Amino acid sequence: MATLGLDIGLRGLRAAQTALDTVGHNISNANTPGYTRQRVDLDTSHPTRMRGLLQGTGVETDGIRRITDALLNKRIRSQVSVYQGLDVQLQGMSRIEDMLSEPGGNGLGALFDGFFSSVAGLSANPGDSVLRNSMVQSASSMTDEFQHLSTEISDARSQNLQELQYRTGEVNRLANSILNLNQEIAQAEASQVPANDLRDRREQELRSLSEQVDVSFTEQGNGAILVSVSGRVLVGSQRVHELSVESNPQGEPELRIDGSNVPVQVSGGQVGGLLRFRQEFLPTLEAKLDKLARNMILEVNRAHSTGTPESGGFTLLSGTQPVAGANTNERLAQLVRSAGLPFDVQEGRLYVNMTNAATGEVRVDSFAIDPNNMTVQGLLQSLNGVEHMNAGLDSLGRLNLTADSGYRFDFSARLDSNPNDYSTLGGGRATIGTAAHGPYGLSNGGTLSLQGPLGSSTVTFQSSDFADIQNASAQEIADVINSDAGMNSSGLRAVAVGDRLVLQSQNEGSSESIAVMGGSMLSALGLSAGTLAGGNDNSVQVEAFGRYTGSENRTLYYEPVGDGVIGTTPGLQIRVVSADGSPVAVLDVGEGYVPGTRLSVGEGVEVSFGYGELSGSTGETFKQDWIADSDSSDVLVAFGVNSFFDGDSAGTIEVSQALQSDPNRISYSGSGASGDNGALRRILTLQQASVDGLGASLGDYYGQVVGDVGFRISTTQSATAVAESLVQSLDARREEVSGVNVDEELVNMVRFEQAYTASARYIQTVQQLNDTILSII
Amino acid sequence: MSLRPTQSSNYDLVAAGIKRNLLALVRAQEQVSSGQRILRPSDDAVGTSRGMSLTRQRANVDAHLSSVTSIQPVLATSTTELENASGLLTEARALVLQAMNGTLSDTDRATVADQLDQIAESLFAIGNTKFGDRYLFAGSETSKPPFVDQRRGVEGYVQYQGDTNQQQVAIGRDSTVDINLPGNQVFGGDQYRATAYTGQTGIANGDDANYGKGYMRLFLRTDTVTGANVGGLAMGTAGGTSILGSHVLQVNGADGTAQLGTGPTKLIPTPPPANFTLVDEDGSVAVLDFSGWTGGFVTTTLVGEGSISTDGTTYNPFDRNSTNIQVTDPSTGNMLHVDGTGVHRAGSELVVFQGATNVFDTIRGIASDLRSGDSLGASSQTTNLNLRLDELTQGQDRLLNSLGKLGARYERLNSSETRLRDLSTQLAGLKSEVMDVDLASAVLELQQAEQTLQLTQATGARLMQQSLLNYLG
Amino acid sequence: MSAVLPQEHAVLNHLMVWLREEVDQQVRRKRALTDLCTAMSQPDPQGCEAVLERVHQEESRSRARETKMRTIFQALGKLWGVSPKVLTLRSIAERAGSLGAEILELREALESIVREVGMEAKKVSATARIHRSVILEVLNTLFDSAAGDPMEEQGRLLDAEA
Repeated sequence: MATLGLDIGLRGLRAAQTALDTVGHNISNANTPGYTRQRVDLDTSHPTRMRGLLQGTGVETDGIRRITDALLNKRIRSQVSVYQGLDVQLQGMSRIEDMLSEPGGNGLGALFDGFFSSVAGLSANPGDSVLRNSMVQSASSMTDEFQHLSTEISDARSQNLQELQYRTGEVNRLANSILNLNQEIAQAEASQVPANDLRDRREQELRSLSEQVDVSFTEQGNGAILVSVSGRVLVGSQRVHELSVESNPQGEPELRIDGSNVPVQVSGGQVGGLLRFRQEFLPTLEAKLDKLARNMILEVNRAHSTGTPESGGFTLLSGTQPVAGANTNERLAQLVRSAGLPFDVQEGRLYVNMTNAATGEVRVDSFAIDPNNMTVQGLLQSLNGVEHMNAGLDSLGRLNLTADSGYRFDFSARLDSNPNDYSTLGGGRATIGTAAHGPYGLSNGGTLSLQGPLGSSTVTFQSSDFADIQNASAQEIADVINSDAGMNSSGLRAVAVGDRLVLQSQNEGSSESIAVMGGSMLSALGLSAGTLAGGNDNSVQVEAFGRYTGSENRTLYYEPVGDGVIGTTPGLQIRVVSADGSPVAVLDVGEGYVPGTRLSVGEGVEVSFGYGELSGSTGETFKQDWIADSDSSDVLVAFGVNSFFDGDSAGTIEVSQALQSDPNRISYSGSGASGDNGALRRILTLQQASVDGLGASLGDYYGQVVGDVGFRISTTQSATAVAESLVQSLDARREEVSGVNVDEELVNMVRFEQAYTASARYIQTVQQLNDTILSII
Repeated sequence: MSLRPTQSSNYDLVAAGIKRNLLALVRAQEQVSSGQRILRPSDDAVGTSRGMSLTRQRANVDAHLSSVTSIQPVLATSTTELENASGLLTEARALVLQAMNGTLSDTDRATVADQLDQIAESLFAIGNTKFGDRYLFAGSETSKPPFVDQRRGVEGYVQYQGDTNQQQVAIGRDSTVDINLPGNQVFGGDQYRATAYTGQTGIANGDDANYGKGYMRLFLRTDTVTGANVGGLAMGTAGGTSILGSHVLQVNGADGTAQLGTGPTKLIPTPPPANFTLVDEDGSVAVLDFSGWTGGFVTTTLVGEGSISTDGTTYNPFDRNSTNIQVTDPSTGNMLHVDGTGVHRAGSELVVFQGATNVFDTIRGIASDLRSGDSLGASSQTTNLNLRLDELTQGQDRLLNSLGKLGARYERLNSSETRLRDLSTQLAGLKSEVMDVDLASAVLELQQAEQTLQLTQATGARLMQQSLLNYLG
Repeated sequence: MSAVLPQEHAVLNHLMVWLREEVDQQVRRKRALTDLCTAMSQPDPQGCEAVLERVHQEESRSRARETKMRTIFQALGKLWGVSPKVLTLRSIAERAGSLGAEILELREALESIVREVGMEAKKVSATARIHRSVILEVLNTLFDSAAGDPMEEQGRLLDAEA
């Protein structure tokens, strides 16, 4: 007898002898009443000799053989289920992997590259219509691939369902066959006829059934084998309880037995594998591709919707995403947050630029958006509040924007080149500005008395004039004053400069003057009685230049320090402050300053002041918006206004129809100037920049998705290989020709036991050694 | 008990072996023919992710590279055009100096003026150069011509309707290059320093600051003169009186001469004329009516009052005692504050917003000055020409400055191009390491796979034979 | 590429020799495991015993080889002033100057064969386990006992399921 190098000694064989001895005992004493079977501890050594007690007894030989066979068959069937389950998933996954066409140059990755390349090309020459066309083409190729992938996944799903249905049919066919065989075997063996051939055939059917589903078996006394799936009887003693594929409430297939409503959990065999593929692999991949498409749409549209086309603006824009809701009223009353739009509207601000086509003058307006409090109607109202803008919903619930004749609008982050709206700084009108910023805490019945060029007047504030009088906005107060007859006839008016209220004479000139007389709301407004301001014959021309380079939206106020004449009065300065009063810059505009010279205020912004008089003591001021993100609420993206991509998933992403029919409508400019390419540069950064929604750049996220698929497939491949080899070795085991001599059979078994133990120890050693190797690799 | 034949177990194992080896063979073949080590993500998941990341990075670099190469010609064209412009300015300057040396005849001067006008035209065309469909010197407003010829006011006025923003192109993850120049900074200045006057009339800067661009004209006119009605004298009816402010008139009854201020003493003709022209040293003229002269000594102070115009048509009276007279040119919006107290004669002033003129206006202005000949008086024309020449010199400096900037950008682009190409190659190399197959070893693997397959098949065949024999025998 | 000092050169040479030997050893190991798997599948206990006997002789030098590896790493650590624990073949290749390329090649070969050995070991374990459990079940059925599996607590038998 050979010695196994690592562990085996004589002891092992002695243990084998003991085992035989005990078996012999047990069997020969089987008919002795009261004899209890002895346990065998394989490690105990009892010095006895082998006795061929079981030779020649055919039944006993057969019995051991059949026990071995039965146990092996059980193992084989369950391993077959595991293997087939893995294999069918592997096939499904491999087909999908092929469809991805990566890492070769034909997949989505190369089309990303092509798209960004066309964006870069156009950004170097945004006026070229061939390049514009090219960008739309590349984008379309990319969206086509997204849709193709989505379709392939849908196809895989329907193929999967067909397979499921077919396999379920197979299961039922096999179950019926087993039932018949059960009956035949029972009959035969009841009449003492050996049924080995029948048993063999039934074993084949059982194996085939295991290939389809993971089943468990119970052998009955009469030789019949009952089969169940996940605890539910498939082949019963009398009949077959058939398996069927039904739809669950979500439209996904479920297995049912006998038409019951409770679904059957199948995790192995081809059926189990098909279900796992459908429930895990496909949805995971689909969700990731959808997420990728969504983020592509969101980020590109953010840049494009706040861009301007060559025409410098729009006279008409229609959104592409409809608001949900059956009837019009319901739509309008919906909160923006729950309007059924594919992308969320955030809390933020929208800036709207309105250009007078004839003069080229641009007005920059903005309003806040709170999706949790603003209804769709409220949004339309705010849009309509922008001078010369008209907003509504069309019959399909899509946002419709038009400009008054002679005007055009856009949403780009412009630096207003004439920020001194209403000339509230150094203007011709007599001007008094409030020292306080809004909102102002007024009270019902509060008063303000002013002296205008044509007379005096007192205005009374009522709660009904305000949404919340204790938080009155500058605009609300200005509206009240401007609609007051007394104020009008006194030659007075008011404007809101950002969140500050500013009072003015209606006309310009040095003969105009206004004064603050009194009123109960003086301190709330930050005005003092006796403040007197006169008009000017000259109006200071304020011009802004440059592009704001910061990343946060800011509002700044320009306030003269003291009074004086620009370029003349020594030491005259203008202070630039944030809305909260924190200083930003101090500009020297006194003696030595040449009017019209550009002064740097910071972050890329320059301002120049023409000749004129400034009066800091009367609160003159103007505001300037430094806009980094002109739509921080994403409302344009949500409604599909001026979108580049439409859709919201891999299956629906496409280049906007408007751009497909006319690529010259691409909104490439970020500042509104025809030679600016800011929107394109913003899109180009997406090639490498990390996207919030993905935690990686678009390309890298896609790489992860593909890598993931590869990883799942390769781990499934090795698992399948192992499972397959196990099936093969179990099959080989069963094919052996031996066991005619029972002694030999048992000795072999024990010998095997010890060979396996030794092998295990060998493997353990190998793994320890190789772990060390791997740690130094 | 049924026999289980051994050959089926052997067959299964052999078949499995053949299948494995066949797969290996196919794989090896695929690798060799495609040059790719990783044909599918499952071949090497980590390698796939890494390879794809490298491919994306390289595409990003290539995109920037293509931007660089497409804007190089734009910069090249801008440079060529500005070099031409610089040459033209040099030519213009030479012509002006020639015209100023005083030896040219009127016809010659007219010829020079024509040449200068042509130069201005050429420069104007350069200013509005297009590359493809965009104007090169318009800042970011590239769809409309940056310079328009307004010819507003008395002085020609070329207006700039571009902006001062840059057209930027990304040439790297965080770097951009400006590819255009704002025309008003190339062909003109937009930061004016001070106001200069010819000085002919005695007008000067007032108290408050001035605000404007380019050139302006001030026309001062004498409206009324007081103080003449002494000793039988009166103001003449003929035109030509151009005194402003106080000028002393002395008439010497003894030798029959008259003198205005410190000007030449003139003999009064006999009979004394109704329009006798006297000229002061500053060139101002008083036309007096001597026809009623009593013949005696007269010493009186003539005081001229007048008005100012910016276009020679619309005049507004000005206060000679004010040090802060506001004069606005309605056609350009330029605003002056002038001191009237030193004004002593009528005439026209060239006002220069130094640092804020453009070369077109300057050169055309010189041409028109030359054409107007001596009507200005040689010294004031010289003053005018000198003022404009100063501006021309500034203009040349600015142009050279712009050329310098372009040169620097071109350098930067070239070095970016080199860097990007290197990076692209490097990334390609890295990707190749991950993804591509080493042909030599792949071929070797292929051969081995083929051999193994053959061997397995042969072995399999032998085993089959053996088993069959056993079975039969 | 930096120059390699003579002392370094000597040690690095030892390393490369060791690497080549180790790769060979791993190839033999892989073959042994494959043969073991085949034997188990037949089933052929004699065959298993033969393989294990063969392997016993080959593996007798394993401990010595491991010691040699540690010695080389310590020597390199001392030469370069780093703890041997942080050294890896890759980092050694980076410091190895002109020898770096060859070391990287050997490293790659070693890594690849070690992983293949791992895969085979997995298969052998899985096969052993499944057959062992069949045998135990047979024996337990025969002796009507539910004996515990004394081997379960020892060693690390990897599961077939991935």
